Amino acid sequence: MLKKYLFVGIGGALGSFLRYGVNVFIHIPVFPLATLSVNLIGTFILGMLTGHFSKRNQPVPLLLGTGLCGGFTTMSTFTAESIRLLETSVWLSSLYISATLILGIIFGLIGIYISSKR
Amino acid sequence: MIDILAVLIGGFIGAVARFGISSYLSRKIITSFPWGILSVNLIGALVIGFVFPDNRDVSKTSELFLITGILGGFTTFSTFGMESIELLKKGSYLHLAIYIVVTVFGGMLLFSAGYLL
Repeated sequence: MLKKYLFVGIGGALGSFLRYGVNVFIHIPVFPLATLSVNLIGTFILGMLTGHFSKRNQPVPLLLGTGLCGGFTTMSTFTAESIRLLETSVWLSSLYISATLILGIIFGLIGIYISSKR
Repeated sequence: MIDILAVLIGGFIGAVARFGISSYLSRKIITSFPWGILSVNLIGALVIGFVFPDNRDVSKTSELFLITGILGGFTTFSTFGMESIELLKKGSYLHLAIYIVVTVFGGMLLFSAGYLL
């Protein structure tokens, strides 16, 4: 039981660190491209893991899925950025929200599809 | 170095809390609707509104610990995406619409509430 939390925690720490790294490298003031990128990449990878591992409660899916992908992607920063954009442009905010949702689902589906083909 | 440590420790705490709360809720409430991750993401939205740097006087390191680390590790988009896909595949379109709308717009409302607190 405690081990499960350890796997999730280590994955979450690494995922958050990688997200921080992406934010340091991609920094565009007008559009939250860094968060959009991590959310799409993270959903794609979780899609591949979901297609590959049928049981979620095992060490590897807990470390890489719940921990790493869960910690790499973020909803709280997405919400904060959507509101921040809304203050400057309703259009940009709507674009950010719809791009995240629609592309997120498409990237997830591609991930599932790729891993089920192998 | 201290900044990296703040993100790592925060991310560890956030992910463990997400796992604990979402597994507890999915044990307590047995339905096909993803209550666990919805609750986690909504709590995260309220808290990030409360601690948002425009709003409070926070140092760079505390921001990295609280927002990038804890809240970033606590809330998740990837699992939200997978659960949306699961609802889509099952043809539960009403649940899918409710899940997405409540996560996104409910999150924005809670962010504002946290900001105003």
